[in-house]
Amino acid sequence: MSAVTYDIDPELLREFLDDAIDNLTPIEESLLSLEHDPENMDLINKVFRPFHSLKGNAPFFGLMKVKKLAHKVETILDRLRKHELTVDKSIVKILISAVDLLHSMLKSVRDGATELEDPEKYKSIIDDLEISEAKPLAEPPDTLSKVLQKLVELETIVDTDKRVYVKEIINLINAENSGVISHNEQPDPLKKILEIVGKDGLPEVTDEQANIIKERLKQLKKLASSPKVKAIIKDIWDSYMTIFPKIGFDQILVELIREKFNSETILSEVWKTDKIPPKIDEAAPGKIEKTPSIEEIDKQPIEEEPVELPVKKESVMTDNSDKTMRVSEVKIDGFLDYVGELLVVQEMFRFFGKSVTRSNIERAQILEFRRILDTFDSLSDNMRKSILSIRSLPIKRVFQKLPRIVRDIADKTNKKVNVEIQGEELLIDKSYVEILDAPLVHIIRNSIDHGIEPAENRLTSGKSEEGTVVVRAEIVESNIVVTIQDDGAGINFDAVREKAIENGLIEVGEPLTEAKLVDLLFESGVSTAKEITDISGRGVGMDVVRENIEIFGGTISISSERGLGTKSIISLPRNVTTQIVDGFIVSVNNESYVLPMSAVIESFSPSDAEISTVTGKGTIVKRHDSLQTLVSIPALLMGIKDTGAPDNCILVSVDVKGESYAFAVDKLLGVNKVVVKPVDDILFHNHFFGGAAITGDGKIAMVLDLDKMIEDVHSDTSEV
Amino acid sequence: MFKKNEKPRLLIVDDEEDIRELLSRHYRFKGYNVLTACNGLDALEVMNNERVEVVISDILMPEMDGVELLHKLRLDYPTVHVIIMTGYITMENLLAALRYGADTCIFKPITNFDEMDESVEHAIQHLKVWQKKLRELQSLKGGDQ
Repeated sequence: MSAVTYDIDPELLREFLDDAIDNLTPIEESLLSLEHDPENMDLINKVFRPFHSLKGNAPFFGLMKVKKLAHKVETILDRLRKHELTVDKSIVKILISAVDLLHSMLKSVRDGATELEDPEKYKSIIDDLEISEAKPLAEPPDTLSKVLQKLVELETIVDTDKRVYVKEIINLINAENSGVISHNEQPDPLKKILEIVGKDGLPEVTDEQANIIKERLKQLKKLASSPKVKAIIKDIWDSYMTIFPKIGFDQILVELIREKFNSETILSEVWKTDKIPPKIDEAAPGKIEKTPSIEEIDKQPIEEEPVELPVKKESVMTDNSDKTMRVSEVKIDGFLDYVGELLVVQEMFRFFGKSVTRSNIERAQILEFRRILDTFDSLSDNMRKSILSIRSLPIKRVFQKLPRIVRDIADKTNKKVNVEIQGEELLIDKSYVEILDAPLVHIIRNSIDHGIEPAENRLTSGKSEEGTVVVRAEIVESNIVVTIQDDGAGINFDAVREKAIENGLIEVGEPLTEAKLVDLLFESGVSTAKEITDISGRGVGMDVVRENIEIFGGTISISSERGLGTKSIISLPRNVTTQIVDGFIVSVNNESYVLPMSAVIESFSPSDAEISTVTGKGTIVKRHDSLQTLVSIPALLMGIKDTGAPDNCILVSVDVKGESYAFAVDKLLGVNKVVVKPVDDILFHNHFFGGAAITGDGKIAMVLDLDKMIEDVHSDTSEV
Repeated sequence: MFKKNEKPRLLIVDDEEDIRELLSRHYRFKGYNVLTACNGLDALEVMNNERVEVVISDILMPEMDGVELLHKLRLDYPTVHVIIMTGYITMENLLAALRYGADTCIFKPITNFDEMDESVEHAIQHLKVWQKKLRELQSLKGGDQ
């Protein structure tokens, strides 16, 4: 017979100790809060529970000394819970030192030493705990009754009615303190009901008595403190209302009342007393308040806390069981990368799924595969959402400082400006908080500095004295759009043009579209402030602003109307780090390209009659009564002039800046979500590409930047 | 702090010295570590200072009887196993033992140790299973690698 052994697994022990040590930290905080909030039952219970479990678990791991200490603490906490002891400075102090000792004991064992590295400290704390345990019950506050007594004796209470009531209060308080009125005494209503119902047999209950019972039940409901008793009373009430109107005071009701009202729960219930005559204004009916502030008396208000006020909702510890963890940002960021990769894997699965479907595998298995894929899809989706939400912050973070900045600059420049913030609750990824900071500040400064006119000017031109800047955050499609709009003077494009000529950015006489002018704004050096003020006159800034936004795949645009105001729009993709785009995948000359799904209108096969070549405009395609310019991707990419529509091509109608274009492609490969990876430094034509995507079959498809391509198309044709 | 291959620890509680002797000898021989106490109070003293896996206790004892001891053990040492032994017991007492979570009850006189041995083994086994489960939890969580 082999020897029986029983060991405590050391790793298990370590894990237990780590947990226990972790659980101790919030306790210290709670104890400190308890000092300032001694009546807070929530706190006391919160501290009680971990000691209760520690006491129970420690012996399992052989930690007998820890158990003893935890036990002592638990006893004190239990007494506090039951109001047998009151919370005061010295108790909190001893509790905290006990927690400290416990902490070091647990650590000790964890480090491989014994529980009792400091036996003297242990003994002294145990002794202290035992002394505290044995504290006598707290003295009832008799100061109150003394004061009230004085009041009664004072001549200032002229109104003898009030005096009588005050006397009653004093009597009650005294009686309660000396235990004459025990809390467990049955309230009158209950007694009355039991009287009527009797002990056995079927009593003759008159209508009047039935009514009395009904009234008493109502009263009882108010006097009950614990939810259990309340439920019992409600039960009886419901049964009463169901049975009595139909059958009268039936045996069932009688038995029910007898049974329920003689139960342990009711008998041990602590009823609220309702003995104060309701005429005393300050005492709420049904409760004894220990602080009736007697208004007519000009005495100091009594400081004591009322006994039965509703629990303060504002507890100091608001975290309850909301445990938090500190995690390094790097770790969370790492997650995001995986999420992106996960999407690619999803696509791979989907792609594989297609070939599975085509093969000779049984239908049931195909369905199974589909099912798995769907599960994987939703899981991956959920994961992505969770991780992104960890990083989300309300955009309020960025917006918060704006009103202040506005006020400061407005003051400095003697202008009156009002700021309106909309949509500040919008959640954005935290990296955006940093990105948006500078641009917003810059733009707002510009608005106030250059845009909003001084008060008199505004009045002269019929505007309100106060200028308004509206900052709005919203989600448009899958982008976060921040709009800053002011009702100022608008951008002075003439001045901009001059400055640009001055700086050699443009030629004199060069024809400039508004778009180009706006572009100029973003060039470094184009500030038209007469003096370079410290605020926004340096002329450096907007270019950096735009660059930063574009790095993250966003856009910034400005539009302005002379005399009416300026609107700046910053748009950032909702998905940070990994750009996930719905992609329309096509094949041209055996290369795969991705067209953003949001721009694709339709695809169709042209019949020859619909295509015609027009000199100066290239090839036109007529579709649905609209004329679309044909775009040949290879032609563009290779810089050769459009060679007309290739044979057997498919056309994809795409909307770019409001106009439709027909892209000629060889094959349609499908619609998929793709992860777009940025491409840096491709030597040729990289401005046509918004990035590269990995498709399900593992190949790379270049994502087309439609705006840039169309620009090129136009510049080509304009050369013709 | 904890040595390996430790013997499981039993606490024998009985006011009769003969019984204590008998049981101690038997279980020491079987390879257990055995502690003894002569009544409930005494037993609690021992429990206060030593880790014990299984308590084997008589019911009728002075100062504090087995049922009361059982009750107290449930409050303060919820993970310990308790085997009741008794020569005389009312139904009420036995039911109380059941309610307070005694593993089983062995009737005196003890002529054959088989039943008690089996119970002790079960108890140890039970504790081991729980340790295993707790360890499994660790590996499910992945642990801190």
